[in-house]
Amino acid sequence: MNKKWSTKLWIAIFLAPTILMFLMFNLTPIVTVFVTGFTEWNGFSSPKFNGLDNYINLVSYDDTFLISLRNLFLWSAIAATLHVGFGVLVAFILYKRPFGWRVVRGTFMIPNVISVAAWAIIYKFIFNDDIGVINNFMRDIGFSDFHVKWFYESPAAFIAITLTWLFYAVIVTLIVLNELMAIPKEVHEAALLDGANGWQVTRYINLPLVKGAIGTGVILSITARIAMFEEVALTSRGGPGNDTYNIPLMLYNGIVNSEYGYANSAATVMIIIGVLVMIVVSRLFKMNEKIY
Amino acid sequence: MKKGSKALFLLCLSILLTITACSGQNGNSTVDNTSNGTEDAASPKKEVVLNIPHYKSGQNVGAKFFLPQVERFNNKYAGQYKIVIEEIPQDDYAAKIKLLAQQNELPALIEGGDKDFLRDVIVKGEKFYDLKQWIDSKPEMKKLMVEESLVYNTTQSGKIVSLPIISFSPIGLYYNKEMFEKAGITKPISQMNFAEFDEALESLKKAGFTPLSLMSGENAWTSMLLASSFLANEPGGAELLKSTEFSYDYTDPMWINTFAEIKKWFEKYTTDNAIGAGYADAANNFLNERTAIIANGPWMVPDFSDTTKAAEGLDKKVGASIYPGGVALATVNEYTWWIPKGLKEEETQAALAFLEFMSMPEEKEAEMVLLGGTSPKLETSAEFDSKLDPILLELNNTIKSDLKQTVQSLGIIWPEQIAGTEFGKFLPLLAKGTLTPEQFAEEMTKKAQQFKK
Amino acid sequence: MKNSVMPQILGKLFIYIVMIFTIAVSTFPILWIMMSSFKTNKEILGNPFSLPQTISLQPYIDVFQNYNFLIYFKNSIWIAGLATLVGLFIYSLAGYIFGKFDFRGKNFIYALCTITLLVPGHAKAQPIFSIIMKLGLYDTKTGLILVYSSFGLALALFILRATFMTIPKDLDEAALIDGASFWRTFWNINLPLAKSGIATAGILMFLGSWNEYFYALILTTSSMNRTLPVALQFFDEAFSYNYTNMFAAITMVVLPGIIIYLIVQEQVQASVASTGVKG
Repeated sequence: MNKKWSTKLWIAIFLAPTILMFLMFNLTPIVTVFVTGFTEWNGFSSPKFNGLDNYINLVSYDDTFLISLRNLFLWSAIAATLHVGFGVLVAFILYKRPFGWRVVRGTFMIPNVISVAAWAIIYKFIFNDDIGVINNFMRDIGFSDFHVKWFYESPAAFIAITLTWLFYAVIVTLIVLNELMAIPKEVHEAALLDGANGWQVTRYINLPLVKGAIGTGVILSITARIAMFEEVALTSRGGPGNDTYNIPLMLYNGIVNSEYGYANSAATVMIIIGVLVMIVVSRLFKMNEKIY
Repeated sequence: MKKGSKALFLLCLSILLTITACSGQNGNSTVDNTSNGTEDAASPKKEVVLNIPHYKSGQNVGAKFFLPQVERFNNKYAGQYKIVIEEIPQDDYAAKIKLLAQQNELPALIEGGDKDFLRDVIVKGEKFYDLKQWIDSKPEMKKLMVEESLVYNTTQSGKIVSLPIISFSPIGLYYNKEMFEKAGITKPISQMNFAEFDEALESLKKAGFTPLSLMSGENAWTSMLLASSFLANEPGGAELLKSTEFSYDYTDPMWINTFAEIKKWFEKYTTDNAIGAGYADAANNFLNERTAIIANGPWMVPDFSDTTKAAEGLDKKVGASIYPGGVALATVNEYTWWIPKGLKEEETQAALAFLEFMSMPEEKEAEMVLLGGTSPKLETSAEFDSKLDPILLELNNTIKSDLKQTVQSLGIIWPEQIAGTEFGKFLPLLAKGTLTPEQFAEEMTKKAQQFKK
Repeated sequence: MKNSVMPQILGKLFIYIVMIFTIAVSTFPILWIMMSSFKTNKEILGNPFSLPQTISLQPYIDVFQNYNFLIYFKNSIWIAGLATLVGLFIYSLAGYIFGKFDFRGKNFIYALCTITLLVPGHAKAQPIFSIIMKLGLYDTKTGLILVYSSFGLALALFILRATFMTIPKDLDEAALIDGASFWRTFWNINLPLAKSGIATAGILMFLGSWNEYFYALILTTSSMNRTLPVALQFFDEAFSYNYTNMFAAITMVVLPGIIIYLIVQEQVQASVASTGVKG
């Protein structure tokens, strides 16, 4: 048998299952989403081309989509600043290896190994007015009339949903910590010899060196916000009113209401935003050679 | 070591093969051979098994009658038909049915479902099994059916969509007699008007009780019922609530008044936890004597004596009534149990057998004893009244003496999205004063217009 | 040079406040739920901070016996485990090729595959739902396994390609000279050396599948195929009268994940850190 041909055959065989997976669960769905976004389609009859109608309906039906965009923007901003900031802070603290740093690193990961669905339901109880920790604590320390209905009041619902993920930045911490530990000792020694103090080393040497890792953290945090579903669907359901609506919830409702064309136009917007965020953040943090 | 890795490879390979092999398999109702342990000769005939997802299971209020009924059916047809109920949350039922319909994977028996979907897809697209011939072949059963329901279920081409009803349950409310006594309320609720009802709420409050079990979670059920009865007392409201068309515009003054009333109830006469409360919370409040009144259907009655849910002795304190103004809520204009078109013959037969079983006089009577309801044409047995729970008897009596009109609830005349989620989602904003009744009406109208087709 | 002591103490204080806060937000919600699961409904309603009066396992027994908990648990293990195995197998094959061979269009295919990482998973919900339906895999474990293993594609390829690239090519040549087949070179020589990368990808894929909710919700219906995260939603309805049982159910849903994590803690953290990708 011809050796070269046999190698080619093996390559094809080895790649085939992956390519099949790619075609079935990535390419086909993405193309379908994009194409049917321009159609009226209820899943029963065949799709009917209707141009930009779905996109026009997205903004003209009511303010659901605009609120979803506003929420996405706010949540992304909070994720990129406070959420990532907290993660980076913990990383820099752990880098100094204070007493108990391994415990912190270990426990910080726990919320991320629990399903988000469980976490959302746990938070529903934490914020519960009758039995919840927050309201009872407030009442115990003297605000005896504290009865905020966290997931059902405006703007409390937005804040409550934000709090379900705000501090859980362990991914950012681990990525940044990993990058910090990779900084060669000599760099620090040289700086210290030059008379830099601890703060200066952190600010002018470590921070710039982990810029790429922080950028990755920002991308991951924002992507998580774009796809946030359980935190909303299992708590406020997008309410009160449309206050905490977001695109995944619109998508889910679109599927449930058999408005597939409409749902997929929302999905297209979601994909475009995802890719845009990626590009913008990588530019900002001057990240290359990485796949993100 | 080498052996181990080879075994691992074989394992992976077999997994892949299993996946491909399984692809042909079907998730839903299949015909199983139940006697898989014994030889074929022992039972040559296969039992038809129907897997039916339904919400009347688990802890759902409807389970108390429905599951034993399925059991009785399975016993009666042992070896021939078997129905297996798969638990599904009530909130998800309509959506699930719709998803299944798209892929022609519907279960053999479906109870109602998303109203817009039934009308636009199932009825218009004739995706249901026409019950006409079957009903005509059972004159005994047909005789018992409510005429109006039979008409509603018949399409223009003369087909019958779903099982016409034999009995229906007027929905009223339940109140805690002890609290009413302490608050000095003597006039029966069914004889009050809403001004007097408000006074009664006020005196309950003065006596130290929280008057109403309201909720804004899920579909805001108990709040929606009470609001329906209020709207029925507004000029023009009753006509609107009797319509068979959906209502998409809520800017008329009668709507604004209704929303204003709801706002008042939430502000002054209900529990702290009403905002965001689900049905269970609202029921819990009444069952544990934290509220004086809850609006709900007669199927709630068994819960009053269930001490795992209710306070001891509550069933002795509960009174039943229809709403102020002599209003009861009921609908006969609704699709009930239907069978999808295109099932295997034996599955259709099994499903029909179940529909027939449910319609048998003894089953109907058992249902009415446990869950309440009246049947215009069914002759109940002599001991029916004595078997009836005293609370249900009281409800039936107020219907007999004070009923002025029966209308449908808002849940029936609202499009599915409004009734199912949007009303409940916007309710907290109304209750908290973020939206005025006018603004609330506008928001709801905006939402509803999206679903107008 | 002598710094004043104050800033140092303040610095230390700040560091420990942040550390204690981090531990608190990460564990308190779960500990509170666990503690409350031992309290009666009355105690829970009375004071959310009080300690349980007696320790009773009854609610756990109730949940376990009445709610097919074992089935959901097995389903979760089976689905997440198989999805991971299938995914690892498929993507190691491709990762090996991408890492060690050259052919026309290689970079294009690789880029195409990894770019899917940017597409939010939920956006593909409707088409994936129809594909699964068409395959007749709706409401089957197989359907979920297939979908979950597809989710690992971009991430696993990325990790595994990098891993195989680090394995020297000399080894392959030596094996070929010895007359080993293409398959044996991959299976006996390369795969064992790629263990760490495979473990990394495997852990991330397993965690992702174990906790997935959205697709499990839309692709299954019967309790035979329900996974733990979805089961929680059913508990939410079923136990709305009974906080004790609800909390016991939540505890039972989250505990296995935490235990598994504690066992392989170091590897999980390393996996997350090295790739910087959320599972």
